[in-house]
Amino acid sequence: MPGRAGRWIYTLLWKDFLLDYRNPLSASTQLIFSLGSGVLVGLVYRSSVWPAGSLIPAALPIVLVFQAVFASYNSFLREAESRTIDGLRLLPVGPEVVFASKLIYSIINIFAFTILFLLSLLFFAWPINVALAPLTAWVLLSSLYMGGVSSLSSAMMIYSRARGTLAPVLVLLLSLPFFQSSAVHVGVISQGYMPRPGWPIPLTILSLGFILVSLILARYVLE
Amino acid sequence: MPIAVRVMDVWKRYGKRWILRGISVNVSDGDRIFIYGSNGSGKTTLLGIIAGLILPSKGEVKYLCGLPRMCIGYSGHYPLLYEDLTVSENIRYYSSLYGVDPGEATSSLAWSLLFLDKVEGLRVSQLSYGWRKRVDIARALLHRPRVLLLDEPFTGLDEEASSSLGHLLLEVSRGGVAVVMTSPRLEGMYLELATRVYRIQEGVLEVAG
Repeated sequence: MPGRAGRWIYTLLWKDFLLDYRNPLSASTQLIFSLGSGVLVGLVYRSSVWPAGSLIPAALPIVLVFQAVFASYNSFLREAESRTIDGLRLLPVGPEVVFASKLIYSIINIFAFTILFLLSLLFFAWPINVALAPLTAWVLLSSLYMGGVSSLSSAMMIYSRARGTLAPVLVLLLSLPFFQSSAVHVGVISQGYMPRPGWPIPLTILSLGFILVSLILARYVLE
Repeated sequence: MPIAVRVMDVWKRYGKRWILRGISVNVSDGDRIFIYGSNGSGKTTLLGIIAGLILPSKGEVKYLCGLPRMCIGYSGHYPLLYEDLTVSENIRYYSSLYGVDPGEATSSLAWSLLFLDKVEGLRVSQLSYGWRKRVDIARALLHRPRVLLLDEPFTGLDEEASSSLGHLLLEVSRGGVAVVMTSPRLEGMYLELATRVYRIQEGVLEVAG
């Protein structure tokens, strides 16, 4: 069964990435947003007296929320727009497998574009003193959580006529607990310091816990 | 013939309006059921409920044919195809998820009778509505369902395609597949095919022939 589920998830992911490749408008928009916001934050940092410790903790959550909103539009909402959502609902693979594939797609999407934002920011703000390895780990953990937020919000909005406005608000609201818990760590990392040992553990538990709850809710949302 | 799906006293309400009122019908292997009724009479909702896409407000649907997702094939108003994928990529995608060899799907009766060889390399966005409909019907059949639900299957098809689809539906129902078709009009093609005809009016299903 795990092998079969893996093959199903691979097929569903293959389809989503192929759709992105064939119609690159959305991915291009996300690319421009990531690079552009990196340039903007980098230039603001260079031309101001603000330390990175105050700029990055403010900019990163906002960029992550935007990436999660983009990912939610490319997830179940894209299926709803193209009227293929019923095709997913009729599949014999089960809603959890469908949700897991969208979740993985969203995590990859959010992580990749947030890393692009960071690279762009670091390039334009150089020299800047940040602890890169823990910052990357923080972005990865945030991407896990935000992937869950994005997929769940997208799935919840498929039958709403106001999905265009409701989805971003839902993403923002669901992301608040994570950023409230993790703000202190990104503040320390952005000042070039290492956070206290074991700092990723509560964030990992929070992210995986949210993903687990989302997977359980998927059955009720998608059926 | 053994019963594949039993629809038992199904009611459906949207807001304050009842769309379906106490519908009961048995779908047996090899049946070719035609349901007609005016726009908004509840045909699409009934098919959606049988397909498992819509929950009834009251009543239930019993699937005696096995797991609903494996024994039901559904082709609705809107083809469940990805516009930016080619026809063969769509078929490969669905085949993989239904555990069917894609080669089997492309060598099926549906594939040849609907002339899908002609369009297999084209993206769905390049196809007319009629061709999309043909591909979607082949998609609905690829996992060999025991019940095939078709919402206005002949809409948008030219004469040649209509005749081929009619031939295909006859062949699959001879193989034991139950076919349930809907249309807003009482049309000749449906009447030639159907073994049972129902009229749906204001959510009530009546035997019409």
